[in-house]
Amino acid sequence: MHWEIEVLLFVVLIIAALISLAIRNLLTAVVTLSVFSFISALLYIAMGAVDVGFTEAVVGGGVTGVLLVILIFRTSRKDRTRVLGSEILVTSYLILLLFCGMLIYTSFGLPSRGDLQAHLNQVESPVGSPNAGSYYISHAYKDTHTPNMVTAILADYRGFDTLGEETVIFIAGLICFLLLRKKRRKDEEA
Amino acid sequence: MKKLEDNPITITISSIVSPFIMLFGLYVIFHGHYSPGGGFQGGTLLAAAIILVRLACGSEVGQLQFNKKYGTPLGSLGVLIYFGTGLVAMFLGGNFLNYQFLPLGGAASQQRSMGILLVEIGVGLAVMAILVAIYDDLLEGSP
Repeated sequence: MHWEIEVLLFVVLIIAALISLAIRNLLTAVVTLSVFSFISALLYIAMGAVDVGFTEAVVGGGVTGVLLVILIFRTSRKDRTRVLGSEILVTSYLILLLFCGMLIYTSFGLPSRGDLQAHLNQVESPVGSPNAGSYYISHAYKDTHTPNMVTAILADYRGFDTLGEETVIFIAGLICFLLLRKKRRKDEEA
Repeated sequence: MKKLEDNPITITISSIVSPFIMLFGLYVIFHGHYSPGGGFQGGTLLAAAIILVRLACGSEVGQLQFNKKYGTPLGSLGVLIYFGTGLVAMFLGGNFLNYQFLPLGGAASQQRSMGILLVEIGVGLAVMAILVAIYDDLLEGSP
């Protein structure tokens, strides 16, 4: 449908990723990573995953960039890693190309988006058990009185997963708190 | 970091824009039943509004909007709201996180809807507080 726009977005996405890998100035790398996040958010939205695109735009393009910039101001602005030797580079590029070819080869086996004949989009799987997707589509509003099916799945059917997600964020915050606050106290004692 | 506190343009623009971002974040949390979004996205928007003021006006002025000593306690409160919703449902006879058994009244589907809202509020609170707390911790002790 909009395949020309999607191809353009993919090209910009790959260019942004390559620039953020290759550049030595870390601030520029953060900016190109934000560009990467925004473009991938646009791609998610073009594929119909509006909730995922929203999250990517808000988290990847908004807050992560700010946190990384603060981190760079507290540490170092230049990337001081050593440049690898040519034979290691050649091998790693070969492995990368092999992996890329394998992924592209397997992608031909996937059904195209919204294919009604694909097993995933039918009521029953090939062995006769009911599919989760069609169950959610037919039961979500009746069960939870929530028109947005994604919210119903995330917070009700898959409530345990969201609980785990929240716990992970909480643990990350706690670790930052413990590590960074403790360091300051040591500085005061010294 | 470079001092930006004396720049009137950034201070004015950020203090005008920040409440609107907060309003949009609250809308995203409470309207997550009907439109894209939910607790996670709304909480991140709230955190972005707070961090914007801290970036523009300096961390000392930003403390007036959201004091950094509330960061980790509010995050814990958000996680506790989520766990509490599940535990209340469990003690009232259902499984963990089965919102049908919450003491809210109404039909089962209505109760599930309310349970989802409670959980989303918990997630939003936790994400907002934790992101601001991480920002404050990173800036801790900077010159």
